[in-house]
Amino acid sequence: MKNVLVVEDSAAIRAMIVSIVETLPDIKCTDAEDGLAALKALPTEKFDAILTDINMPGLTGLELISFVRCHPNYKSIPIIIISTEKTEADRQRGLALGASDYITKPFAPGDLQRVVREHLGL
Amino acid sequence: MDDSSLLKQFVAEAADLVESLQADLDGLAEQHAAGRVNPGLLNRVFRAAHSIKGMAGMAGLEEIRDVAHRFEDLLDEMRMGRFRPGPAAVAAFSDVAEGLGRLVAEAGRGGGREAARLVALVESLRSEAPAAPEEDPAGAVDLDDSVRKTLTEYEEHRLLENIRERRPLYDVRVAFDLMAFDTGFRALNDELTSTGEVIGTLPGVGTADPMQIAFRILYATDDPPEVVGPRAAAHGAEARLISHYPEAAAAGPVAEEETPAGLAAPSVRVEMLELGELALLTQRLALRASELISVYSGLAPAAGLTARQQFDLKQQGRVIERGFLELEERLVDLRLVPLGSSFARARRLARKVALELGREVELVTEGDEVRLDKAIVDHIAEPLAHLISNAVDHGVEPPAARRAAGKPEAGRVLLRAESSGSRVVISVTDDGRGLDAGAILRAAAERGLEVPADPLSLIFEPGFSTAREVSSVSGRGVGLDAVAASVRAFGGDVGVASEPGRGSTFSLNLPTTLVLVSAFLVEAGGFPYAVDVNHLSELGLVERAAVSDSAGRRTVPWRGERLPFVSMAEMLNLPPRPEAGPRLPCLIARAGDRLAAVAVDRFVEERETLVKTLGRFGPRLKGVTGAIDLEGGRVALLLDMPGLLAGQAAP
Repeated sequence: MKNVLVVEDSAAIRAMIVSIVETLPDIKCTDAEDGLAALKALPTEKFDAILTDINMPGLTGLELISFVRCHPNYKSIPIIIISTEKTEADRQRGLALGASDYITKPFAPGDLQRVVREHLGL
Repeated sequence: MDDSSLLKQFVAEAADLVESLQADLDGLAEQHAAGRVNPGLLNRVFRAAHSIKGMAGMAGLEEIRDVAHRFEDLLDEMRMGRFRPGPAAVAAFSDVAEGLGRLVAEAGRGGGREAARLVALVESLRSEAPAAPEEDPAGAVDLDDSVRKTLTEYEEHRLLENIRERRPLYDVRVAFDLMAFDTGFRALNDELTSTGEVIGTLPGVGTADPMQIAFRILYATDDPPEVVGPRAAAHGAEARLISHYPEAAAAGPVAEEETPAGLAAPSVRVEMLELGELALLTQRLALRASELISVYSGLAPAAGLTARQQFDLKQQGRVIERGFLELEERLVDLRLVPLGSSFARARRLARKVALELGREVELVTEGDEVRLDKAIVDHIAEPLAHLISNAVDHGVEPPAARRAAGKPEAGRVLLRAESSGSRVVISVTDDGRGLDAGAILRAAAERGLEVPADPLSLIFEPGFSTAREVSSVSGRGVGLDAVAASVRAFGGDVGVASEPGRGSTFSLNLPTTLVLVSAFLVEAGGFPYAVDVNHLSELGLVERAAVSDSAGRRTVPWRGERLPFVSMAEMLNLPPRPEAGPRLPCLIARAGDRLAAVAVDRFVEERETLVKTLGRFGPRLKGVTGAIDLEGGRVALLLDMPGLLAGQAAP
């Protein structure tokens, strides 16, 4: 069973992402409402991928990426940015910080599933 | 998750977002009017629009997405310092938010016209402002590149903006236990946010312990290192000043350059009370100056001044007096704020009440730009809300009744402010059924109330409008006595006019300026007086027998000292009253750095109260700085205690 950490401050979008990802076989999701909650969740379970929004209160997605990438235990976890056309410049920065991939909101369920499978090696 | 449950969840979350967006926009409008927009608040407003857009996009609600997207764009331009809206544009933000609220409430049922209106509204607000040149921090700030790479575009903008304003920047470093870092981190973050701006949060370096997590917080604040150091240390963090601005540059370009994001002009915040105290100080100085001039004028003939010199002396005296008057007026002016954001709130309330009751009501406002003392604006919020909901609830008829009466289904409520000299009249007019004078008279007769010349004004009588039969028949809601009482408490008044079948107008007649003080009320010579508690040290009872008189100077023992003793009635030249009781209630008042005991007839109470100025050009009563309204239409004069005591010491 693969474990995906979904970081998104909108509860409705978070629930939707979780439901799309969990339709894939052998995948479960853990959700976090912002970067800080994600940092708090990291040591509690083993994660196989992180899906993160960028624009969040407290700790932004970019900041979360740099935290994850500099920690020896987590630095190789694939990180997929969920961005919007508005945050294109920030998405570039995220990729430069070591994010593995991105998907742009709004997206079709199939596109999200494809990206997640690719990075989980399914 | 199926589509309908996604839609439901979207609607619930978006409705919450719109609500907090509206509250934040009210705050934004106030800050904008005051000339200083908090970047954190503006960013939160932006993020709300951003989230609504994101959710609408995922839920397939294209119209909402389009409006939110354009609004988000505009707010993004504003937070990046490229769009500097005027007050009208900021007020329009609330309209956009309201419109979004309506679209969300009707999600999926098509709000085509409303969406098109909102798109046009947002687009009409756009205006290009030249972007402030962003300086590269190189040299001024000691920051490695890796830090800047982790900042979002917006965070980088905030960094540069703070550098441009020459605000001290700190690198705050802290490490927490990995399993329980969030409590400590949040406490530190809250502290920094309330005292400055957190620009970004980055991973810290150099923690070998994998069970620790280290943070670097990029923090901007006006406070110097000797304040920031202990502030950080209290949370186990270290703060290092990383900005080093050249001295010369600090005075030069910043002053001339165009103002930064959301700023009307460079400004500082001042407590309202501080302004009130400055106005009082000005009044006292003005009094001293005119006394000084009259002393000189009295001396002039004896000093052998020529007529020309005497004339010059008088002229100079007038110039000084006029100067003080102007200073005082301008200080009072600083307290005035436009009614716009109160009106925006009223508009939302009307919409909400109408929605709940199934009425159709259009609220029109006039005079949003009329300015009133901030203290009054705060005090009328509740009375105004009351009048608005009454107008919608009891004034405007249900659609069917309106149709039957040959009126358009949608009722119209006009909220209007008009300024006339030193008063402002705010009125709420509805085109509803009007008041039933007959029902009011019958209810008055039942209660055995006397009928005044204007019988409609009876509905402001205590307990009167709470009568159910009157409310339903007369078309008026409850609690008008509370409205009247709270408006009268600071020198305002209420009025009502009505035409059966055509509607009613309720009006609040308000003073423009007030000063709020903590006043202590006493009676002296049989009259009520008030003293600013800041001028009092304490209250005491003094044995009449302990007052000693030596060569005309009376003193009383107080806490091991002897204080000068005077009675308030004497100070004010009031006729002496028959003395009663062996102990005298005394105010232990401050006069400069000394204390004095001032005897009064009796203590009444302390209250926070609004002080009416005695009219700008009216005669200055010696020793009086204002007036306070008491119950039953009585007035207490607010005394200038330090001035009066200084006058006592002089002869």
